[in-house]
Amino acid sequence: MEDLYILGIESSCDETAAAVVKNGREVLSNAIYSQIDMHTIYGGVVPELASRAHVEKVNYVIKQALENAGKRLEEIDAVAVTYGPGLVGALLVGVSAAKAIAFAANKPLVGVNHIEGHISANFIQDKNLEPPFLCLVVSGGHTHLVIVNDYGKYEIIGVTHDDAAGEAFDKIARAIDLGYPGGPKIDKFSKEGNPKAYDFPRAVVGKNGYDFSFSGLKSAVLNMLNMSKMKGIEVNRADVAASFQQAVVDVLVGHTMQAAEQYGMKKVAIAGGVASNTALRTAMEEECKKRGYEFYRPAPILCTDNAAMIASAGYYAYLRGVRSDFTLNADPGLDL
Amino acid sequence: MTILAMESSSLVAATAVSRDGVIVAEYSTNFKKTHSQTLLPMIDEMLKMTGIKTSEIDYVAATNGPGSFTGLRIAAATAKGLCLALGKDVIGLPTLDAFACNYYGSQGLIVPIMDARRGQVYSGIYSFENVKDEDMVNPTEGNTFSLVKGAPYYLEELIEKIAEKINEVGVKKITLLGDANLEKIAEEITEKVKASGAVVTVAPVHLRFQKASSLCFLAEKYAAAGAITKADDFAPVYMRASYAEKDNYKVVVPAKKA
Repeated sequence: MEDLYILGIESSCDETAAAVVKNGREVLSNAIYSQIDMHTIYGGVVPELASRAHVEKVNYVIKQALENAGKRLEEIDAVAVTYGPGLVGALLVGVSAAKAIAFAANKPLVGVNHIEGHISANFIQDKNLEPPFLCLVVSGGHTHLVIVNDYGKYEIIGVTHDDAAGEAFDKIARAIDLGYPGGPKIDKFSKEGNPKAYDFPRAVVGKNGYDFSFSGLKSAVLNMLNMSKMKGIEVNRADVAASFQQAVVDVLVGHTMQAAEQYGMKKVAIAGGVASNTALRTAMEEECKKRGYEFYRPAPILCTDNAAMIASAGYYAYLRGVRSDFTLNADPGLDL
Repeated sequence: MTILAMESSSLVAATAVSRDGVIVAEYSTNFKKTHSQTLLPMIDEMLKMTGIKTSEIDYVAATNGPGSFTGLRIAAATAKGLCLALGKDVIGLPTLDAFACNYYGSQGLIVPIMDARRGQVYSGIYSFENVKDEDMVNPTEGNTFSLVKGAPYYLEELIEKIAEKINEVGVKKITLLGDANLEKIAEEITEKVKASGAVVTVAPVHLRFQKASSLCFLAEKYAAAGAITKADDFAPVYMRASYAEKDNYKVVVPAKKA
């Protein structure tokens, strides 16, 4: 089969990203302009500022991706772009630019689901990974337990009822003065603390037991901090961080292992920003090993929002014949 | 010279193609669909209809603000994407200046007024009287037909400025256009300027909204003046801080590297 080069474009949150990927698996370039410093002073992503930065950077990032890949636009076979879920104003920048490029360069356009992109990061990381497998997608905006039956064929068996896992990390990080972004900060700080110091709740919700809820855990941590403050008891913040993180990891790993067993999955993958969490990676790897499952996890650069994963997902969608027309719109609440 | 113009700063999605001073196609919609769904399909349709190839486009013109933040960005990102693929430059036009050109050549004050929410309007005051065609455009210091710069104003502030300009310029006619509540605003202005004897008129439906043909008209003058922007650097001029920047968000962490 002839080689296919996909230009991926991603702007769903606070990273403006573009990438060129060959045959869905080989990353030729992965350009990312991160706005994190800009949002740090506000303690979180400010949608309007994110959108403004996207429109300023979008062409530079795309040109960088093409240049780093050593490809001219004419050599690209299709343009893949994230059209949801995410921040609507942010998504619209990438979608509008991608549509215009596909139109003017006369290339096929493929709209990609951001969550599908995260899952696809595993195809880049491991060239031999093929469906079916079980994938836990955890990020600032998503917590999904998904059975990948085939390329583009997903069965969601667990979702969060309230906060996404990454959101809980951000909120707790704020409460213990670690700041934004919470995930990496709690990860690092937890290494100095005792994960068994506090016994925070591990919620079981939903009919099948695979759904997630982090609001109870969050409240428990915040209540403990308030009570301690009122009583004048000094808490060890590293212990709080480590115990909180352990509670999240236990639930994520527990649900994933149960699901793998029930659905007879021998391959388990993780994806999304929280998949860079070292405690989660270690625990997931150990539990998979015990049970004889193959464990897959993307390198941290592929866990964060990036366009290589969008190009990979776009490649398989392209092969399935998925084509978007120029009415493609941003869909902030897009389902997988 | 072939110019593709687009505008989506308010309710209307407007596109047009001009070739050496002739509007060869114009397509506007003001309906339920979002700009993201309409703008590029409209451009596609115009080019298909006229048989003009994208490679024949010399400049892509778009309004750069003020206006709806999202609307401005849809046009900006579309213009930038087109230019990236075509290797062309953008002509960025002030929304209200281009809008005022709907009334190019007419007498009196031309006042486009767009709803800007937060109790404000985006507006400016324009006059084409005594303006020579060849020096209409001055992108650095402001176009000569612009008497009061297009920007967000409180309505009272705008009406005050209109009254000032009426006395200053000595005109007897004011024409309002745009998507704000023009009939009501016209009454307020009439009341304010009644001593001057000036008559306030609200634009008819076909001139009331942004027209991309007006963008083409002004863009040709910008091109002649060399007022072009590298597509990579093109971005809207919002004329307003985001909600967060206006201290509405608590700054919880000092600005330092994560």
